[in-house]
Amino acid sequence: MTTSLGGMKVLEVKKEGLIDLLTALKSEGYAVLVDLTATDYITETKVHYLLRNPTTNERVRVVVVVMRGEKLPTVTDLWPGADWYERELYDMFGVGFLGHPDLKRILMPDNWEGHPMRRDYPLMEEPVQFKHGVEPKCPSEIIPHVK
Amino acid sequence: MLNDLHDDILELNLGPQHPSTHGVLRLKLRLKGEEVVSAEPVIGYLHTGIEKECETRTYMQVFTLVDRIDYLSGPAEEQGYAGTVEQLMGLQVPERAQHIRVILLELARIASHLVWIGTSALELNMSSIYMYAFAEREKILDLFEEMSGARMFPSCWRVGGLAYDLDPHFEENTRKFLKDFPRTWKDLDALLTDNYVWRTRLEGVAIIDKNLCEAYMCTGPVIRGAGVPYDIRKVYPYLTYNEYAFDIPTQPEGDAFARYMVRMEEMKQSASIVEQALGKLKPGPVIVDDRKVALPPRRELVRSMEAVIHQFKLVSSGIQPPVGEVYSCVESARGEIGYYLVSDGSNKPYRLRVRSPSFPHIQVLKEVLKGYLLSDVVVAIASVDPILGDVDR
Repeated sequence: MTTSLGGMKVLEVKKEGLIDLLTALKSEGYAVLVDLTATDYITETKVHYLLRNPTTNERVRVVVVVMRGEKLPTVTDLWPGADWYERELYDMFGVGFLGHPDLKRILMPDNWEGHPMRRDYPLMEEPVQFKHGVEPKCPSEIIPHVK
Repeated sequence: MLNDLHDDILELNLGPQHPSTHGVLRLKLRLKGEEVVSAEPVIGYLHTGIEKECETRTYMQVFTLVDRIDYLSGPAEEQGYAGTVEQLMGLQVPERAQHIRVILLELARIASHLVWIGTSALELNMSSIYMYAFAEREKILDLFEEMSGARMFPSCWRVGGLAYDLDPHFEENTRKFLKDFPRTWKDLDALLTDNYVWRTRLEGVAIIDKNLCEAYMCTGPVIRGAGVPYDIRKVYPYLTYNEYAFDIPTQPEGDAFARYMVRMEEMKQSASIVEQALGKLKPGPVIVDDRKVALPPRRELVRSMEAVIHQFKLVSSGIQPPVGEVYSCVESARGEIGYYLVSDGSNKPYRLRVRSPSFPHIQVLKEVLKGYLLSDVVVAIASVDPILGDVDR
């Protein structure tokens, strides 16, 4: 399926066809992986691969949806630089990558629990010792969410 | 017995607290004698969760946070973020604001490269160059301070333009800086480019060629030092960059010295862009006229009830861009800063992703450092110019 994002082509793909599509795009000339990131929607996570064609400088975004707990195939064979990006996604969103050489936390401490960039991971102030009766607040409550 | 010792692999931790790591980077080195067998960069010591924090802040509050990601090119971060929101809302920034933004962006690029040159030279025990570079950078920070009150982050970007116009003396002072800068540039060039120590330490060290750059997503001076003229300002022009005449300096070698040459030349080009932008400055508004986006001018608040309501709405709940997703990128002193914004129509970003240039540059070190001596590790780290705030976000 194809849509557009600010003039950039967006391809949506099922996770089974991900590697085939990325390999095809790479051989078509989209040889550089610019960015690898994700957006969390509680039950599912959208993982984005942003590719660039170094000769024409066209960019294309590949979007794949993974359900919570599901794993994606790794793209480190195609782009060795995806290594740290996949580790970041694992660390921040809890997206697993099958076949990744060394999938461990990268930004958070190794013994951290939870995946902070998930939408249901609360952002709270740290509790202050010896201050009884003071509830830690969420900073977002200072200006309420308006939709 | 001695032979056994030579075969031994020594594991050495370089950092996280080490003056040559430009922040809190830790390198797990495995050494054979003085030669690096393998290197593993360990990051996360400066992780501040800015991306998460941005999800709970209004669009205007985010500026303060993104400034501090890459703390040496605050304007580039602000432009990256502002440009993304403006693209999502379809706003056209007034021409004067665009030129002023370019002036600040390029001044910040010069300041950042000066810090790089100063600290890199300091690591090779050349403290006078550090002094010269920092004295020159101080003049740029003074310009920023005079304009906005803040030294490192002018933080005058707003969605749709700038918070305020230039100071009356800004143009004059900037021209004075531009007049003096070539002399310092020549001094630095004379001190370093043909300096025997500088050349021996930098030439042939930490070679990152074109293929490695593309495999590891390197951008900025690193990819230009490998002979690829990839610069966002030319490839995906933003603001008024396509109105100025400037070159993209490249060097084919891909070593630390090539990256030094690229950065030196970039400072010259940036100074020329600032000069051209100053020449194009015309009086006019610096922020869009849309009251749903920009605060009403102060003088209207005493006369118009409507202006007071707009002011109240903007301050108490903020701007609300339409539902959508957008990716846009800018060229900072280090490379491609990309912002990916997902809006759900509320007053806070649903997701703000920062694609930072230093992150891949640190990652590539594990490939680059193999086979070099321990003393070259310091040069290699410095040559990619990492900012750890930018790596860990």
